[in-house]
Amino acid sequence: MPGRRFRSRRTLLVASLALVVLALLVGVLSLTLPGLLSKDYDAKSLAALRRQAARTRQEFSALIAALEARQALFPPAVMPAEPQDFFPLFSRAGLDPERDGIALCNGDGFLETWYGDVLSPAVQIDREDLERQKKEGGSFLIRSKATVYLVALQPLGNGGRMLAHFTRMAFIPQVRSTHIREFHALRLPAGFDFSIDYWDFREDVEGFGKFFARHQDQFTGEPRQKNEIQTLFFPLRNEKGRIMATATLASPSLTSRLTATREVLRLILLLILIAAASLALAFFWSSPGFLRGRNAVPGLAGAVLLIVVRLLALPLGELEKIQSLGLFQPAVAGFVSWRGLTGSPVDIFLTSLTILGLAACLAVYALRRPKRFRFARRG
Amino acid sequence: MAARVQAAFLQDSPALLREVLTADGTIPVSLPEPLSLADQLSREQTYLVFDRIFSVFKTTEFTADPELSTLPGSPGMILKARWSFRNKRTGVQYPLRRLYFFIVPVIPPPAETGRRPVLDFKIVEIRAEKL
Repeated sequence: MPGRRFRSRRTLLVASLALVVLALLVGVLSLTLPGLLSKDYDAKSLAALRRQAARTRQEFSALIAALEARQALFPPAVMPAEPQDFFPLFSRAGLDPERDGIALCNGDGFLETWYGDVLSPAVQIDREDLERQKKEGGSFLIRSKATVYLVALQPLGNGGRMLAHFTRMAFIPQVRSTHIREFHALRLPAGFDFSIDYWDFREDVEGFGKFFARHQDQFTGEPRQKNEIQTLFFPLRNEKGRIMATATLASPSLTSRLTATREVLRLILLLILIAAASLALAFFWSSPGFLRGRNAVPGLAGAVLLIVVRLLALPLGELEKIQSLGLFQPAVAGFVSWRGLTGSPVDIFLTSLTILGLAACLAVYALRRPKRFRFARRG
Repeated sequence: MAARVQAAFLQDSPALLREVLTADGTIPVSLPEPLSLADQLSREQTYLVFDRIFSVFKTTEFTADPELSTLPGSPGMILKARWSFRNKRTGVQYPLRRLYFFIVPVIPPPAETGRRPVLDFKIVEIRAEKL
C-alpha cells in the first residue's frame, strides 16, 4: 500500500515536471512564432483573403442551388388543382419554417396557400416587375423592413399560377440587443472583418457591374503601409450573373495578428503552468510526513504553490478570449481589492478557494501533529 | 465636473472616474458595441468595468460640452461628451460615441473643522450611443 502511494506521488511529480518542460517549449514557440508570421505577411494575407472570398461565393451559390433543388421537388406537371392540396406538399418538403417559406400564388401574386416565412409577391412587387421576374427566371433578393429574402418564382402554367420560394438571407435590425440580433445566412468568416450589402432586385447595380468588369470581379485595396489591413471587395451573383450582394473582406493587420497569437500562446502557457503547479501542490500535500503532522516543509511548499497558482490565474482575466466570458466580467460581480484578486466572479471564487486551501493546510498540520510535538515547548 | 470626467477619459484612468461616481445605490451603465454593456452597477463595479475598458481601449478623443443641460423638475443635469477610442490590441479605431453622464448635486456632511460643506457633483448614470 505505501509502495503504491509512493508510485502515484512520483507520477504527480513526473507529470508536473513534464508540464514545466512543455511550458518552456511554448515559451520558446512564442519567441519564434512572430518571426514566422511576419515573413511575407502581405502576400499570405492576400492569398487568405482570396481563398475566403472563394468560400463565401461557394456558400452563396449553395444557397441558390438549394432553392433550385427545392423547385425540382414541385414539378408543375403533377401539381394538384386545389390550393388546399398544396399545403401537405409544402409541409413535407423539409423546410425550416423559421427561415424558409413557400407560397402558392395566383397570377397577380396574391397568396393562396403558404408555409413558413413568406411575403406576398402582390404586395411586395409591382405587377410589371413580377411579370418580368417570372419571364426572366433566376433568383433575386427582396428587402422587406429589416429582413432580406432570397426569392425564386416557379411558374406552374395553369392560369398564371406560381410557387414563390423564400429563404431568409439576412436580418439586420437597426436596434440590436441580447434579444434582437443580426442574422446572416452566410457564415461570418472567422479571422476576417466581413461586411456585406444586399441589393434588392429593384436597385440599380449597373455601376458595380462596370466596376467589377474592370477589376476581374474583385477589387483589392492597396494598404497604406506594409503589413497593414488589406481589403478585398467582391460581388455575389445569382445563377444568371446578376449582382445580388457586394461583400468586403478585410484581413487583420500584422500587429493585430501577432497580438492575437501572443495572447493564445500566453493563455496556453498560463494553463500549463497552473496545471503543473497544481500537480506539484498535490505532490507536496500528499506527503506522509505532512499528513501525519511531522514535517512542515511539504505543507509550506504546497501553500506557496497554492499562492503561485492563484497569482498565475490573475492574468487570465486580461486575455481577450477570457474577458468576454461572463464569469470573468466585473459587471456580473466584483469588488476592488489588491491586484484585482476579487475583480470578477471567477476571481472571487479562486481567491476564496486559495484562502480555504491555506486554512485547510494549517488545520491539517496543526490537528494531526503528534501531542508530544504540540506540547514540547510547554513541558 | 466636465474637466474631471474629461481628465479621467483622456488619461484612461478609472481611479479618476471613480471619484466622481455616486456611492449611493447603483449606477445604470449602458454602452454600445464593441463594449456591449447594459447593467446596473455599484460604484466599485463601474470602476472595475472602466478599468477593463481602459486596459483594452485607449481614448483617442474626448470632448465634453462645456454647458450642462438641466433636467426640468429635477436637481440633476446632463453632461454630454463625444468619445472615440482605439483597440490597443488590434489597432482598430472606433469612431465617435455620444456619452451622456447624468449628474446630481451632493451636499457632503459638515466637516469636523466647522467649515461649511462644499457642494459636489456625482455621476448617477452613464449612457452612450453611436453617433
